[in-house]
Amino acid sequence: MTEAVAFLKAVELEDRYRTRRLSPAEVVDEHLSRIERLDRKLNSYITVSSERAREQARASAERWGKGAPLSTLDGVPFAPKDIFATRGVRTTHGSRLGATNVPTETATAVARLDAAGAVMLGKLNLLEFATGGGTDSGFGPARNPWDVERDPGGSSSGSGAALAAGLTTLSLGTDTGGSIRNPAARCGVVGLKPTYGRVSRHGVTPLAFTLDHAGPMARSVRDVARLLGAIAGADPKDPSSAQEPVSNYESALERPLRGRRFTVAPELVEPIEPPVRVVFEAALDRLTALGAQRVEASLPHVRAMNIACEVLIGSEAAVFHEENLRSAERRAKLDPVVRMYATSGRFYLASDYVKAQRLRLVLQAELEAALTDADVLICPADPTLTPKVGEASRLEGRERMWFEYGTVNLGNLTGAPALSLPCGFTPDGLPVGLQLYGRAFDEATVLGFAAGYEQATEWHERRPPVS
Amino acid sequence: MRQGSRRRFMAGVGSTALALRARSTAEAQAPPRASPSDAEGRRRRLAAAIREMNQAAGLGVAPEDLDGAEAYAVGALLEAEAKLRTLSLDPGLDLPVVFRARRRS
Repeated sequence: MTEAVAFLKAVELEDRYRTRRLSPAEVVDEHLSRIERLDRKLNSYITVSSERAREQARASAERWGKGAPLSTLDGVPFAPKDIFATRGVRTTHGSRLGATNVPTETATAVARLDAAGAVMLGKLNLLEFATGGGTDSGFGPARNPWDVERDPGGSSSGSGAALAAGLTTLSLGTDTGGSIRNPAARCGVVGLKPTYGRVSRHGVTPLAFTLDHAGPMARSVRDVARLLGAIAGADPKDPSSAQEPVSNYESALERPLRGRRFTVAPELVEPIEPPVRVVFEAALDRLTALGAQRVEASLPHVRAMNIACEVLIGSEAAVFHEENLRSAERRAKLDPVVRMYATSGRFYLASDYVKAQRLRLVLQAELEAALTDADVLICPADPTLTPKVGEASRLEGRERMWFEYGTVNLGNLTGAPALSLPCGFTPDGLPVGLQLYGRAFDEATVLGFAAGYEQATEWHERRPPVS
Repeated sequence: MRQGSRRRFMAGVGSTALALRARSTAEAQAPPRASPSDAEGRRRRLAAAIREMNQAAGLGVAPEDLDGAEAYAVGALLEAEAKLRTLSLDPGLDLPVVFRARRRS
């Protein structure tokens, strides 16, 4: 078995299974062996469910043997962020508070992958309770496979790290303020925050209920499209899930970029740290060289975006963590930054909260207007250089934190779909993510545009030193 | 897009005029800029007010969490003053409370 097996994409695994060149049992064994060998350096998994995975892989192999797979994802390894409830498998929320929590029900998104025959390898590390930059995991930090001294981003930190290092084929993340797109950018993988309501959040521990999204992460746009197709759609168990029909996302990937339009808003490309800007501008040049046309747009209210997000997350997290903060014993097990977010939310003004909610609709209208004449709006997924582990914005770093997450909040506030894919590397060898925003429930266009760029570049094919 | 979910997700979208109106009043209401010493004084007063409010209003933030909450909330409250409260946003942007009809079984 070669390293290459661990880096096969879901669509390639399907082909190998169909033609019997590989079996799910072999692929899952290879992943488990790599996790045992490499994850000591990366700490991307909180729980590895080897026995369960081998059992699922054997069942999948039988189905493929009979020519009766449950879906194109049958036998494909995946691992959700450890904030998706999994019946019978510990679900910690990245917190010592959840160290012994074994749910009796499975989150809808995971249940849909189970029903599709995908094989769950385990549960991935995250910033505690999916809280933002500066938070630690209660199980120690995940590390970036491109440089283990560097932060892998968050809060879906284990998802980014495990995908980049070939420790899973697919992952599920959550995104309240960029938590899918930030680690996707920092680890050089693809992450999509779908439209609010597109993917059920049933069984996902909330951070801020009006901003929380669940979504797919993978090493290619096509795999993200396939994974989204498997998990998207209405869910009676989630009142916020939408009734919109689910597209065939993979069929949207074939359109050429020539003649398509993208827009850039000045408010989302200032400030950017210079090495990131160089990579970002080169990506825009590449798009125009491929025949896409650049048009300009403006989003004047972006200026108030981050403070609106801060007030909403703080206020909603304050209510969610009320019980945790009331008990001294529980409080002691929480990361100080989680406590800081949740307690600061008790002092925000209710009128600011209402204003922030109103602002969301203004931003929706501005984004819609910006996309009137364009397929996607483009900006960096993370305008900053990846910090070292432990140097990510901590208590004193409020401004820094909002700079790092300054281009992602538009997606959470508007609910619009947003995707990050690799677009190059800074001189110190760390990946940079290109972020594409699209119209509500039009993930297909975003994926199609991203696929056009990906097919013309080789950034997503590079492998990190730890892999 | 179906009508119901469009209403739920995009309520207010299409109200570009509202956005433009909000934009036009944003700069007009910006507060006068405070001098650095005023700003530091306000930070100190806000920090003290947060501690007082925690106690007087019984908010229950533990003493060991007050430093962090204060450091963060002071910055956020001042930024909200400068960037959020200065905006004049139309009440038509408020989202409705939606009731789901339930049939008797």
